[in-house]
Amino acid sequence: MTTATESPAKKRGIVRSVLATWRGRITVGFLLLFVCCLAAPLLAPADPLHQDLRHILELPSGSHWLGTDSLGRDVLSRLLYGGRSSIVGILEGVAAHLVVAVPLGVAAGYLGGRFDRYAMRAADIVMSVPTIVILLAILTIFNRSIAAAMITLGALGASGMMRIVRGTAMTVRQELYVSAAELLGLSRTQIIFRHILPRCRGVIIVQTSLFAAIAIGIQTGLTFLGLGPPPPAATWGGMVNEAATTLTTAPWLLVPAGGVIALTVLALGILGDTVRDVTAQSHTSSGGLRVKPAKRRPEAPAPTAAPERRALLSVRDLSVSFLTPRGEAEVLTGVGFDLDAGQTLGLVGESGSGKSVTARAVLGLLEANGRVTAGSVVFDGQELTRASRKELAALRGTRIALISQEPMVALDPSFRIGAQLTEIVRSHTKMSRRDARRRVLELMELVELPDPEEMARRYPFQISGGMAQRVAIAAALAGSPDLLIADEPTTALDVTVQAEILALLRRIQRETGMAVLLVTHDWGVVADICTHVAVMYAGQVVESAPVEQVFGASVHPYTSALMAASPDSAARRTPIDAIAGTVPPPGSRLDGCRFRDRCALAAADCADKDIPLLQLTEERASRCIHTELLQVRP
Amino acid sequence: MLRLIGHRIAMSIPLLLIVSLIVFALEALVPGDAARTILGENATAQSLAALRDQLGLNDPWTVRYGDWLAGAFHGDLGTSIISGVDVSSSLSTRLGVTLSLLIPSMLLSAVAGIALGFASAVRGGVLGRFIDVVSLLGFALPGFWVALILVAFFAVQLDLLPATGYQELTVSPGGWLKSIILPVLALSLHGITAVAKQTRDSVMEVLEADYVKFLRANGVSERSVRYRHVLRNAAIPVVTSLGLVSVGMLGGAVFIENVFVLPGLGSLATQATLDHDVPVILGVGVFFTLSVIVINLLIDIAYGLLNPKVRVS
Amino acid sequence: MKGATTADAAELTVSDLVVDYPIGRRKHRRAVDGVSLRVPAGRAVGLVGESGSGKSTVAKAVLGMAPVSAGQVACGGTSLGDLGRSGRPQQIQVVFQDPYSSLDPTKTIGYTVQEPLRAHADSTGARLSAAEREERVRAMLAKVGLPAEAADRYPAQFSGGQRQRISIARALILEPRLVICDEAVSALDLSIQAQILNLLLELQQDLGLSLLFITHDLSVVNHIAEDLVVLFRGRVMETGPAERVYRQPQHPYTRQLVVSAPLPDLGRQRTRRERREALALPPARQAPLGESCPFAHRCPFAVDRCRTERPVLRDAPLGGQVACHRAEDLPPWTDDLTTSPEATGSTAL
Repeated sequence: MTTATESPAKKRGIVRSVLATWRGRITVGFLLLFVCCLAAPLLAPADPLHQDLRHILELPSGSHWLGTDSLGRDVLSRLLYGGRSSIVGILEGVAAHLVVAVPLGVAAGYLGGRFDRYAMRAADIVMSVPTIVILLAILTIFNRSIAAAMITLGALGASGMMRIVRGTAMTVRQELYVSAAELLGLSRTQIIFRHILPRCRGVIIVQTSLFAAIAIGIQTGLTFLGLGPPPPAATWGGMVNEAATTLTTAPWLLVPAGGVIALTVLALGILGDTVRDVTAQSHTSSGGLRVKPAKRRPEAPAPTAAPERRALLSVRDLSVSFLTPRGEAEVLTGVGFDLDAGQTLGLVGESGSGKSVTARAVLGLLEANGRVTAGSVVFDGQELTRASRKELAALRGTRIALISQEPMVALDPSFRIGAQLTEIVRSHTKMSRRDARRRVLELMELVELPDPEEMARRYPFQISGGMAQRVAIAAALAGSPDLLIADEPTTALDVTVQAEILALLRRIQRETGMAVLLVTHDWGVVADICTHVAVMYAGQVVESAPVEQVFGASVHPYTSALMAASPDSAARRTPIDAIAGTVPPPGSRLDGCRFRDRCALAAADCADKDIPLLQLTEERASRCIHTELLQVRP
Repeated sequence: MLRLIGHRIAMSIPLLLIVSLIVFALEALVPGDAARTILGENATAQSLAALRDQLGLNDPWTVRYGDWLAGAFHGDLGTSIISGVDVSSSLSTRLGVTLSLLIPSMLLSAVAGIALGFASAVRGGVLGRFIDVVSLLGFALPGFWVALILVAFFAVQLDLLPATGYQELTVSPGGWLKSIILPVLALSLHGITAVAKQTRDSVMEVLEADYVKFLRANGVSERSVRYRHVLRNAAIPVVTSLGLVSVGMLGGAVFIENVFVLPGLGSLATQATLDHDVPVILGVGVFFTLSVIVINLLIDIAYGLLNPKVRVS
Repeated sequence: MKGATTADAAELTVSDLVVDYPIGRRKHRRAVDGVSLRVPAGRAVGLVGESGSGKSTVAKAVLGMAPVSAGQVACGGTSLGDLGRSGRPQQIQVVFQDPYSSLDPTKTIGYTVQEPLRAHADSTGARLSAAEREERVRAMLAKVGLPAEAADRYPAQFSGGQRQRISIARALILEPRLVICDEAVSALDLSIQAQILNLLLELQQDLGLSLLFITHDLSVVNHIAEDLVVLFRGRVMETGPAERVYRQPQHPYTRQLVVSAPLPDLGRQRTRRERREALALPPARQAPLGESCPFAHRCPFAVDRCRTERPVLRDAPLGGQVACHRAEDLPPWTDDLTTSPEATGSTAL
């Protein structure tokens, strides 16, 4: 993923991160108020049991802020006292929950093996026990003791948290730093306390607040049924029950008790969500952010000099921005290149250069948080950045197709390979199932898949990465496209398999004459298959030329520095000419030449203004104003 | 796959044993007992002892459990200590009420939850935020309270539906429908919102998956991408949440039946709890445990159908 | 530290190592099948292979993290079992591939780099004061090219290359004699990879470290290693001085590996491609491992004997060792690196 969402955010404690959000502040504030119920004897304006039969069922007033109930008791005071018993109940339940779930979960996840199997089996069984029946039994035995019920609930409900803690502990156990700690000879206890538990803290807090919310629901439910402390003791559930008896005459009484239950559960739920949000490393590439679809289309680009020569694909001044939690980041700035039928253009760069984003932008398949802000993508005379969804859909597969880096995740894991290919074939041309099937077998033979009949019956997880990439190529070829976009198609593959896939692509290209836009970071792959090269750095094309010219003598210092950084370029066991520093992420890119801080040829004027892509010859362009210095180097 | 189902079924027997054993053991520790409930607080020690002897309460609880188990194997769950009614037959008369509540609630949660969640994930925007708010409410509002609000509005205020009571489906289909509408709504509110939220999250995640991009990029129609590929792959966590929601509904039914005064298993269990009526509690316990087993079995079958890895391995 | 050992007293010896991973209850998968190798003191040895070759499993076995069914691993003449859990860290350290999962995100860099010192102190009782520890950390961070302030920051604030420097600092702080680099530069971009390779090379030469460098990338391993061991499906195919193995491969598999790696040079890559096509066979089902050559199904020189008799590792015609029945019958190999025309800034040797 080259969208620069790597977070340089300061590392903070969970509590401070939660309090930094307004949701967190409100919910924590409310829960603090809730805890104040513990001081009910000090705070309550009246005795919760004091009856005043002259003032029954009153609406809120100055003397009774929340009114009075059917026996003339002060509702606010009863709420405070009821809250006290709820808090105590929750704390007991949560304590039991944590005591059971956390040690078992961490131990099962980290130790694995037999202990894990038994613990999970036990959790399975406990999860199938109907909690309510056990709770009812407990309440009778312990003479309507809510404490006993809550502790039981905490223990019985622990299997859920245990599973989640176990899952987290298992993930952390896979992390290499845990292996590193094991290799240092740290004991298991040390590893659990130093490395495993700190990572589980987030999920534990989330699960605790969710459980507390559920516990409130159950606690009030049981007291509602009259299974808690007998009347006249004040409980929230009991108050709802009493309100139910006067439903017709005084519906107001449903509000205070029900409202306070709902608000407490809500606060706990939101607290859980907030903690999850601040602890989760956002795993989706868009981080949940979306750009309004209406904004997707850029303003019509200023008509650049009418395209002299009509290329199959012509990208001009393409800029793309991504919405990140820290604002909008421009990932591509004014990218441009041409690609003709039969050519293979290598889009070369390091991570963060924007090469994959360029490929996706051409197809109109940016992530939900990305949008084209300027420029044009003209494919066979058609402007794609302003094409409708329908127009794009009509092109995909039949005119432009895609294969991507991770062939294993490019195939839908739920469908057999044959079924997926058949669907793609039939989405291009209306044909009978039988004809489509014949065509699928043809395609599979075209990409040299051994034993196509048998292969078609397999699921994606039953084949190797190399085979999966062949299947993906077959899918891409199904609509006989004019342009194939290949996003690092061999990066995840072994070198011998890579060679086979490159040979396959070359053969198919020779037979069909399609154009290929190949995204890669590997100069060897470029040398093997590309006819043209566009080198990208920090969201810009810095050099573009036919491949012989780039390998012969590049006209941008980044290109030559990148080639020199290959271990093939240095003598064995001598230092390689590395480029100092790193590719700057969007947002911290330099004005002027973006490469100047790492460039050996940088001069003062490199910082003066943004460097345009200078057309040196008809086929050759460079974003360097000191190319003459490069030419004289040996 | 078949092994998995076999495993589930094999597990159900120890599970039933464990649940009944726990209930029996716990009830044996009860300080009060059925004899005192029947005779009241003022009963003499002799009359209590006589009644206990008559009810067999003086035997050690292990012996009583053995007797119960032996009967249970033949489908005889004993008789209620309080009413003397055969437990199996009182379960079967009340079963219809509880199932009338549970099955429509589960179906409603599944259908409405998945539809809402899917629509909000695909459409986003206002609908998405609406679903977020409603699911928070569904999470926060206690079911019994929602039930009372529904009664206050639809029964008391508008007088559209009965506030309490139950009519047999076979006696009057219209009456049955009217009598379960409010209880089912109250019971499924939480389920609908929980399933909707899970569906929304999981669909949004699948929409970002590489294979979705790949299918779109190579010309598969948006319709097929959404309804064939996304829905199918998003389904597994949704099925999990459906299972949890359904199991939770068993507990919810106890509360809801009490609010609407429905003569189902939940109200039976509540009353039996107050009366220390062990055989009845055990009977309800057996039924609830069987329900959990059936739900889990259905979930496992659904996993198998949805996930080829489970099926082929 | 370097001169004390002779070539005979090899620093790390792995002999006839077999590792089986259990699959399910009764079955198992043989990941490493009789591998022997030596890392002499102060030398850099490259272990090269594709996915499934067992190269990382060998590393795990050396680190005591894999279920060894047979064979010996010894360090400086002491078997690993005798070295024990507390002795090994001082002898052998490791740098992993993934710079992101290698560092605990909840701990500062200072903590992470210090942790080996503390663990060592716990097991030996040789306690350092906090000030001494911090001084060692500062010195080590400087050695790997990081500023002293880095100690107070968290992993999230560093790039992949910097994180790999931190991992190297953690590996070196106990002054081990052997460092295993398990795909240590594979996840890095070309320009960063060059920085880290330079650092590793410099540290190895300065500190007289032994290096076991595990990778799938021939050009990387050829750059840094003095000896090469080529693995395929859990077996050693060929060993020898890196220069010789890379330029005069004597095993058909090594040859295929060499010609499959594309060269960043148009002319040479064209030659390579033609040679690869001459060697390539159509994709075929992998035959189960057993009493056969694991490469027989993809080997253009395979004869019946290759499918029925397991080749043993023996001295190769041009030096080093090779596990091939037909090593003497292979056509002569012309090195495509020296014969093709010299091009821009490429290897000069």
